[in-house]
Amino acid sequence: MGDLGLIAMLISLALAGYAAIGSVLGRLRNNLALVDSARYATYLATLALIISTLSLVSAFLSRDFELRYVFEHSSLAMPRIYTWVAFYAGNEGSLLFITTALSLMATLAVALAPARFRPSLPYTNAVLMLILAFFLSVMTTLANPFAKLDVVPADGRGINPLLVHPGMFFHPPMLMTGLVMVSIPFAFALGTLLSKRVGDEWVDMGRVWGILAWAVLGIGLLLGSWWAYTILGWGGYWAWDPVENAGLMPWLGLTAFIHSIMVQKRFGMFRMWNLALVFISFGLSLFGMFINRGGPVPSVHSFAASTLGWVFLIFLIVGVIAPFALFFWRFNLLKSARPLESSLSREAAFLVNNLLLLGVAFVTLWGVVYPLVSELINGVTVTVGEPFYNNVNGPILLGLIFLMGVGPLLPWRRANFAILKRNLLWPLIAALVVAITLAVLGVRKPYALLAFSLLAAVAAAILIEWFRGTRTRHRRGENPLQAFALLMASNRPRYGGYVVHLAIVVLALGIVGSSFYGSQQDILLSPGQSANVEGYNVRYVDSRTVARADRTESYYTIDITKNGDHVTTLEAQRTFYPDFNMNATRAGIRSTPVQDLYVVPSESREGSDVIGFRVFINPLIWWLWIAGPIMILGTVIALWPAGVPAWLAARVPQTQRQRPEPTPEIPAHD
Amino acid sequence: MELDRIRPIIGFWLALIVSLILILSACGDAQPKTLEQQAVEIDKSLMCPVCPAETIDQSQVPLAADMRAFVREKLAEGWTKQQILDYFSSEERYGPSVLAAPPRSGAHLLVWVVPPIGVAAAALILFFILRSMRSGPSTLPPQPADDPSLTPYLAQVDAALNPAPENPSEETPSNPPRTAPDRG
Repeated sequence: MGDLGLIAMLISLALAGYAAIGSVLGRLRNNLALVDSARYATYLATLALIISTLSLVSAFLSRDFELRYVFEHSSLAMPRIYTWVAFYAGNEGSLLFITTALSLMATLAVALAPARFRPSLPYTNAVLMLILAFFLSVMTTLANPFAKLDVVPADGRGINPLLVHPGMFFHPPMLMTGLVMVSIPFAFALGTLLSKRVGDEWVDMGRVWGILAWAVLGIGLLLGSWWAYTILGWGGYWAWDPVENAGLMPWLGLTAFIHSIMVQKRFGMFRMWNLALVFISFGLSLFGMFINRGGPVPSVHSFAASTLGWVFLIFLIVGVIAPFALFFWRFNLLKSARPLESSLSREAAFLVNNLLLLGVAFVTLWGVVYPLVSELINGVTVTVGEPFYNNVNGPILLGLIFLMGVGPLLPWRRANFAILKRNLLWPLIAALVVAITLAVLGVRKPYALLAFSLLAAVAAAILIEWFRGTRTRHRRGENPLQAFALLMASNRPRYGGYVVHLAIVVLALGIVGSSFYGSQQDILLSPGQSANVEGYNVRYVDSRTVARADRTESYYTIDITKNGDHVTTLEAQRTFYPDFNMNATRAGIRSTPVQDLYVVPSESREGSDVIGFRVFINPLIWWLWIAGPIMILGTVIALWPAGVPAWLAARVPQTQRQRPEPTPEIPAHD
Repeated sequence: MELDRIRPIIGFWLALIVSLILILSACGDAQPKTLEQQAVEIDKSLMCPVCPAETIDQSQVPLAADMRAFVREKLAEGWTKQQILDYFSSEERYGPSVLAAPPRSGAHLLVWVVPPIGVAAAALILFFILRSMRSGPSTLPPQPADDPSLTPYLAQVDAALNPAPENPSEETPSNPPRTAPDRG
């Protein structure tokens, strides 16, 4: 199977090369047939990569330890279902994964691009195929997943214990796919520049693929936090680790992009800026890949570490310099179609939002590279960790939440006093009410108080906007539910965006609550003993041990009561992997919207039945995970193709349908 | 100007909220930090020397456990946070890289001052850009004509897309012109 995989990969490389050259040549020589054949080569390259992927999967399933990669990342004891995880558990396999993901996305992007993209599409395709060819060349020369061992071992080394977790089925693939998907809006942007059609044609595709990449990356980050929370055993979910930052930075760039692209979509403004944002996001995603592949900074997440750092560094440098060089070369073609009317408008708020988002990305980048700077300048190794990011990024993030509340309330073009007063009054009242209520309840930390008030204002602003819109429609004779649904349908990018904003509010609620009011305590208990933690009585009931082929699993039962009432019984797990000399823990967690009770066995002592437990009380963290589904919902609403669904429209009385919307909406060309 | 009418109102609300929060927070946290809370704070500012990118608070290796025990012991003896951090980060011990973030003084002040300066500079640039955009041309700049060499290619594309010559529109049959979104 290994030979088939390698051959398919080589074929794919040849096809990608042909597609890149063919589409550019065909475009330059006005040869439509050549352009078409290059497009088919793109599809075939994807097909070849799928064959290659399947052959690695089948090597895993048939325990073909002749392949070095299969030997290093699986064993006979590994359940076959973890093949999916083992596939990308190492450097070579994860490269094959992202390459296949990229080619699938490229095929979709090229095949689904509307006809008006024909003039720039050959360039877009060529850019995508060049990126694909880069990954394929790396895999066929330096990191071959199908490399063979001279002697076929009887058993493999097994999968990294930390990866044996349900979160691992979704988190790494989402994150990797999200990182590589940034290439698609990038390719559309570059295609438009290369073809000199620098108007607003690329905007639709750039926006759709930008939002998709943004959503996939965001969900990947959230799943990664969830994985860290349940398995790393320190009660937290985000530590500003370099690999986490590597995923966060392009996400921030894309967040800025999907906001400011709306301004270009509507008014043809910010043309240069949107291209720059896509290029920056792409550069940040390349930087992320560089960090993940044997980058120079240590991380808890780097399972795919390799010596490929320099290759990706070169790729990063080219991938940043080339688009910006082209950008400045085409500079005079990129003027805005309209001037900015007022700095108190939604457009201007978007620019400030972009500034802050890029600010967070810049601070994060600076924190990641500073240890290298320090080493070069002073020769001193330093660590830039959580305290730095919390102190510097914290205030900027608060500013972003403020803008998230105010920005959508500002009308396009210029604010009008009456509108502003009407829109800002209730959110401000909500903020005050929440601030006073919380202060009375004993919340006294200024940052937390400010953050909660801001979140209340944002949520109030969104809910009031929905309420007003629904009420207006209701008065026109629609039932409230239908009115709400039609309101959402009337401007999907906007109302979908509001849903995503609500998700961010919910997310921030979890972050603020747990980081300002979380508490932890270490306790040592033998079976039957109990200890008092923040008013809870934590009793270690008993433990049982299960010996398995490659590991020893210990389960600890913990009973928690409060004032004599039984609260919950938790089971925490600690698994020892002798082959890796490594312990993996699984916390016992009781999650409620108010707070999480989180118990993790932190240490055991040889020859004693005393177990060290670490008990965390994390307020509001439940909301963090709820944000994910809400975010997906909002993204789906925002991206759903225009038009009211037939089943909903059918119920609207004829007379209502003809009436124009209270707010004029996006032109119907998407 | 609308802006001039809005400014005092925004200012009033902002001042109200900020002052309220300041007054409330001035009342302060009721309880002082317990020894354990102080210890956790120190745990979170010390990296585990033998594990990649984890603080001793996060890490579960024996060395981290020993360091945590040491922190508690010394706190009980009356050491300050700074004394403990200095102890671990001295050259005889683990060096400055054991600190989770560089100190805000000396050579490493750079890491702390670059972000605020960078963001402030960007804000200043943005301000000037906004101003120049507002005073920019109020008419549409002419959209550059397509590259002349492109015309035959586009003609081919059009011909391939629309076999019927009476429909020169760029829209294809697969992408028909839409009616207004509200009518589906």
